Amino acid sequence: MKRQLAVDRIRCDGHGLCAELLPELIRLDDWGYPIIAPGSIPDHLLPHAKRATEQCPVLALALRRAPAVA
Amino acid sequence: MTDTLLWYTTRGAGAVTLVLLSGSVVLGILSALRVQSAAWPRFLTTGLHRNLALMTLVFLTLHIVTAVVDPFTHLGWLTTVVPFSSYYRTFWLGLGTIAFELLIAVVATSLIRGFVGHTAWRWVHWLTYAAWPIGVIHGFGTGTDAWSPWFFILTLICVSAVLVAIWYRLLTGSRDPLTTPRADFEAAVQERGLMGNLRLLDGRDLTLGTEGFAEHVRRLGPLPAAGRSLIDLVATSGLTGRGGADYPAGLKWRSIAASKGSAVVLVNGAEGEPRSEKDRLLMTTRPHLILDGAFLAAKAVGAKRVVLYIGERHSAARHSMSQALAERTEGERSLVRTFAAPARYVAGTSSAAVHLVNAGIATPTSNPPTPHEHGVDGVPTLVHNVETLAQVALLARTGEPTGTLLITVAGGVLRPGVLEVKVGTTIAEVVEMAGGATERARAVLIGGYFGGWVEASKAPELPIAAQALAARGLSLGCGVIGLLPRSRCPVCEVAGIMRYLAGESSAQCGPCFFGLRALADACSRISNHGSSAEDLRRMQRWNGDVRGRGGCHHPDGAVMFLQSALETFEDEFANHRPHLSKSA
Repeated sequence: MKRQLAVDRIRCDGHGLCAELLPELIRLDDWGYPIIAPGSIPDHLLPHAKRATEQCPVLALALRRAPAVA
Repeated sequence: MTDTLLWYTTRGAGAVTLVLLSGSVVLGILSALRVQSAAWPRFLTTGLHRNLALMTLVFLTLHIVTAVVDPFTHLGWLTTVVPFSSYYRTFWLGLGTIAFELLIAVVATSLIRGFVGHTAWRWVHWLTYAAWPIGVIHGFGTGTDAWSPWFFILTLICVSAVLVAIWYRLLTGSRDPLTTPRADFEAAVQERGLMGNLRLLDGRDLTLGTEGFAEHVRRLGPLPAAGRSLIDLVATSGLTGRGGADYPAGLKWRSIAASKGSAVVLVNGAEGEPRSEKDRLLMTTRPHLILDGAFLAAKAVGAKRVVLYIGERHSAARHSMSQALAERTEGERSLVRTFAAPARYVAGTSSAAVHLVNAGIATPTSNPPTPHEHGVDGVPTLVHNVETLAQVALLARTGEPTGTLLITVAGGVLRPGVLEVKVGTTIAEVVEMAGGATERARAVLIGGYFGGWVEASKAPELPIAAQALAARGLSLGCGVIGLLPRSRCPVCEVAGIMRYLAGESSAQCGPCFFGLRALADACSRISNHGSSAEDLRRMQRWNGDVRGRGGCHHPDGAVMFLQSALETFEDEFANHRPHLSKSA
């Protein structure tokens, strides 16, 4: 099953750990808030994505089921 | 020999626990302070904090097990869970037991943080500030090593490290950069009624007056007994929300009707868009149409409560709605509660409306869950704009959609105000109905402050119809059509609106709060000091960065507005010179 990253924007406080742990898919904007690369997470990055969600200090990052692509 | 080994292990493990726990506490405080440098990334702080906490538990277990199995003390296992139950150093060991149990709670909730949720986890985590000092006092008070120099110095180092970290944290306060603006926002919400600085298009006289209940019934007949069959009628009629999102009403109705238990209908008359007047006009002149729609919807989806959510500044509308309610039956009145919506742009968002009713704070909440899944008091809530519900009242009587919608014509026309037009009416016709343009228009803003600009030359043939506009990348939004005359400076106009929209961010999401402020600042710089290629490049980049990154659609609407302005007024933005007088 394909997964994707989702940010709870209201909860996110811009700690920026996620971009340190998963620079392949997450970069920070000019104010330190994460910008997530679109699309589902490649399999080889899944463990890193999991780690990024677990390490978020405010639990604002989550893995969601990616919508099925036709 | 074994006894001695156990005894030394107990004491050694205790000392190690003290060091590890203190280290973990210091790191926890550092992570709250967001300490970071090139050589020390932030995940190192949290990672080390967690690992030290786990190691603390390992050594603490060693400390406890060796103490219990030591035949000299023969403490018994009960001591490890029941405080003050040991005969030996009752008080000091009791403190140790308490600290142990608090730490177990802290570590266990951290391991299942995703499950218990952030708020609960955080509350439990505060217990650390109890566990740590109790543990330190236990170590010192138990006394075997208390006054031996090595242990005394170790304790001193640990205590001072933690105290320095706590002191530093109290001094710096929370580093969440949004905390202050958020507090400002809530204060502003509270004070808004007294401030009166919102640039509402101060309305012309609403001369039509209120239609009373007797007249309403004479004209349209009593409330039809539609019930659940109305759901299919609403769905097949293609009725969509008239608050701005244009969401199919039938989808919401079906979702709520399918859910078990009670439901709520929330009548949204917040009308936070400064240029829009149609909701106020409707509430002031045809309140019974709105109430009819609300009661019909409540019956159809099985709601036992109706919430009226009306903009606090719309006093004529509030008065008219409460008068109308007083004319209805006792049974209908008992269903209804009325709330005042703060005069903020985002207060009209459906989740903000629900948040105000639930908690008194009109800020949007995270989506999912949507209000129609989890709304007022946690039950499914049907949030509809007043115009949508008025449409329902007529639909239930005639079985036919009216095929009309309310729009507000603003700006450079001779008779600005609200018009009811057939879907598909062109902009040129609308301008004509509003008395014609005061002078040649430079551009037309379609959809209000969340809408898009169109060159005046391309606007006349555009139809007022959601799908046709969507095909051109536009949206009708809440139905504001604004004409910008050639004598007005588009750059200054756009800068003023961006300043307003930036100020209306509820300051909950960083990209919206900081991004819109930066965009508004860049617009103001160009407006006040002339064009800057650098600022234009920045605006393009920030526009892309901010889009889609808010908890609600406030940043998206503002960015869409600015993007269309940058395209439509490309020349003006590229060649702007500051005006000599501020009147332009």
